Amino acid sequence: MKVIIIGGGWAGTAAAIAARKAGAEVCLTEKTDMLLGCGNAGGIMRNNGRFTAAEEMIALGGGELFQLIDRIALHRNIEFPGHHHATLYPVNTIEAHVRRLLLEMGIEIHCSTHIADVKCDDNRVEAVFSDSGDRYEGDVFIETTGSAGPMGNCMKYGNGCCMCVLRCPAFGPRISISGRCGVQDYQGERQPDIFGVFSGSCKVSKESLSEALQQELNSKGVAVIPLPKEEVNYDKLKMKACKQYAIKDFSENMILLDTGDAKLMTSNYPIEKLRQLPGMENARYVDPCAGSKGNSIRYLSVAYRSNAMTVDGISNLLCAGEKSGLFIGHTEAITTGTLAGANAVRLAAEKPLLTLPQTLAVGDIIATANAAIKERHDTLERFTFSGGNYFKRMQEKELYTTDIDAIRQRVEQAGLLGVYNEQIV
Amino acid sequence: MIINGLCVDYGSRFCPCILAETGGCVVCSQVNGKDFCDCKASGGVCIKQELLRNGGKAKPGRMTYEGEVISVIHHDGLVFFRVKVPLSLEQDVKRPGGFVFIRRKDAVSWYDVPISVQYEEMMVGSIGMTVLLRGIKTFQFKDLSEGDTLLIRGPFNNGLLGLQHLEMQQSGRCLILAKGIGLLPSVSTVRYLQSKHNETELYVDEGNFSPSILKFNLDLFELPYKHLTLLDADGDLTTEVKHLVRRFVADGGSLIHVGASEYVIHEVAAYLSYIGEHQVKLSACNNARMCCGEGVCGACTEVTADLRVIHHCKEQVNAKRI
Repeated sequence: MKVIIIGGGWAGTAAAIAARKAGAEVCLTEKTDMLLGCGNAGGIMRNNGRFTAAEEMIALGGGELFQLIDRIALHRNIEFPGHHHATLYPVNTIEAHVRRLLLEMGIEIHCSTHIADVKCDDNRVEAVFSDSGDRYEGDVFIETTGSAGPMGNCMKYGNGCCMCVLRCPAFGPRISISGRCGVQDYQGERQPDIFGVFSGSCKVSKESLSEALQQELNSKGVAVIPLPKEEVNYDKLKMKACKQYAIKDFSENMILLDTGDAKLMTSNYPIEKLRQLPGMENARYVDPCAGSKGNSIRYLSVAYRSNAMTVDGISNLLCAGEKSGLFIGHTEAITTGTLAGANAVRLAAEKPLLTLPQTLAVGDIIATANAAIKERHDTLERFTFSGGNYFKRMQEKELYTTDIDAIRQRVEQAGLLGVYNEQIV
Repeated sequence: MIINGLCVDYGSRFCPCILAETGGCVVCSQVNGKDFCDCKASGGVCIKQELLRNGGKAKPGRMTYEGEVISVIHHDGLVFFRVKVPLSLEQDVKRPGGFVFIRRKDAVSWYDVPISVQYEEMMVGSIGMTVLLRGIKTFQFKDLSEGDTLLIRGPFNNGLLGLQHLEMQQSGRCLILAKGIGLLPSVSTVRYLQSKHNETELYVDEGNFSPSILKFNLDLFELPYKHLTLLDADGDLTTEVKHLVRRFVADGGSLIHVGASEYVIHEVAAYLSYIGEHQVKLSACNNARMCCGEGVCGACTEVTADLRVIHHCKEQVNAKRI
C-alpha cells in the first residue's frame, strides 16, 4: 500500500509518520528544498492549550514530533503576554532534525518536487504529476499543501509577494489538489467579505539587535518593548491570522521571542519604524525578506472534509493542516496530520476510520472547526489551542489542563491509548 | 531556459502578452477574472503583478527584421538557406522549438511562413533554415538566391511540445522517430540532445517524400539513422515500432521524440500508456497551423471539452495528450 502526501509542512510530516507507523509505504513530496514550510519560521509550541494537545498526542501514540521538539527546544516553560508555559524551538535547525527522523523511519522524501497536476477519474485520485512531468501513483493521497499564497493571491489580497519562507518565486506556486479534482474549496476572511488573512509574525536577525536585547532574548527567551503611542494600531490585529496573538498587549508592545532568530510577534512592520525602537536600531528582516512590505496571505484554499479528515467528494483524498480548516499553528497541523496519516492507511485497507472523541481537545478542535463551516459557514473564526475563542472553549469544557497524568487518563478512558502506534497493514 | 508552466512565453520579455491584457492568459487565473490564484507555472514570475506593473498593458510583441540571404542550396524541391539576423534574435531562436516567420520582402504579411531554425553554434550572426517547396506560401522561395532580402519575424519558441523534457534531458538515452517532413525539426532535436551528452537513436520513415530530400538533410549534419515504417496499412503502429519502443523502455530509455503527424504522436503516446509506461518523457513537433504566432489570429486555436481555447502557438500542450 502506498500513501502519497503532497506538502511537507508540519501536517505533511506528521501524516507521513502516522501512515508509516500504520504500515504503509509513504512518499512525501514537498515543493521547496526543505520540509516544514512555515515551521521554518514559526517556533512556538505548548503555549496555553497546546500543552494539553501535545500531551494528548503523546498519549495517543502520535508524539514523535512533540518529543523531538522538546528535546531540542531553546526555551521551555516561558511566559509572554497572554501565554503560559511555551516552548520555543530553534527554527534554523529544526528541519534537519525532522528530516533525519523521517528518513530513519523509511519515509521516501521528494523535496524540490512541485506537484503541478492531478489525474482524477470518477472522484478518485489516480496520480499526481510534478512540474517536470514525473508521475506519483498511490492508493491514497493526503493533501497538506496549506492555504497560503501563491503570489497572485498575495498580490490581490495582500501587499504582493513579500518573499516569505514558502518561496513561491523559486519553487512554484501552491496548488489546490482538491480544487484540481473539481471540488470547491472555501476561503477564510479577515473581515466580512475580505478574503485572506496576513501571517502574524516576522523574523529579525538576532545579530542585528543590540547586545543587551540579544542577551535578554538568550536568557529569558522573550523581550517586550513598549511601542511609542503614535505607533499603537489596534486595527492591525484584525488582519492577523493568529487570533491568540491578536490581543491588546501585542498592539501596545513589540514582543520578541527567541527562536534562533528574533521572532517579531507582529505582521509586516516598516523597517524604519522598527529601527526607532530601543535595541533595534540596526534591525534587519530575515523572514519574510520583504518584512517591511507584507506577509503571506493565508486561508484561501480550505477543503470541506469529514472529522476523519477525508475530503468531501473524493474517495481517496484526505487533508490536514490549514488545508483542512481555519487552523493556526504547528500543534494543530501535527494533530490533524497525524489523524489524516493514520486514516489514510485505514481507508486504503478498508478498515473503519478513526474519529477522535470530543472529550479530547485534539478531537474537539477538529469537530468544532468542521461544525463552524458546515453548520454556520463561519469563515471569520480561527481555531487554535493557544488562544482566541477556541482556548476559551477548552477552558469552559475543562479540556485545558497541564496535568499530564490526567491527560493520559482521559485518553485511556476514550480507549485510545497508543492508537497511533497500531500497525494496520 | 526551462519552460515553466504551460505558456512558452511565460516570464519572458513578451510576458504579459495581449492574451493577459484581454483576460485569456494561458497561465494566470486572476488576470482571466477568477477570484483566486490557481497559477499553473512554477517559474517565479507572477503575471498578475507584471501586468499591474506594466500599467495593465501587454508588453510589445515580436519585431520584423530585414535579413540578407547569405547562402542558398536548392536540391530536389528543398531549399536550404542561411539569413543574416541580429545576434539577439539568433540567441532567442537557436534552441529546440525555435522558429521564425519569414517571407520575401515584396510579399504581403499573409505570406509569412513559420519555419524552424536549426540548432547550431551561437553568435555567428545568421540562422539556417530548410524549406520544402510544397504550396503557395513556400513557392515564394523557389528562386531564392544569395543577396535577396527576407523579412523575418521572431523569435518564436513553441515549435516543439515537451520543451521542458528536452531541456532537462541530460546524459540519458533518447529515441527519435521521424516521418516525412517531420524529420527536419527532428534533426535539430537530435543535435540538441547530443550536445547534452545523450545517446540518440534516430529512426526515419520516409513517408511520401522523395528519399533524397531527407537523405540530403541527414548527410548535411552527418547523422546516422535507420529506416523503419511507423504505421501499417490499418493505421496502427507497426510491430517493428512496438518492439523498438518496448526494448527502449526496458533498456532504461528516458525520452522519446516523435517528429511526425499528430496521429503518429497520439499512437505512440497511446502505446506507452497501453504498456503501462508513464516515466518515459515524450516530446514531439508542434503541427499546428500557425499564422500570427501571438495568440491573436485564431488560426492555431482548438477548443477543449471544457470550452477552454488553446492557442497552439503559445501553449506547451502535453504531447501525451495530443
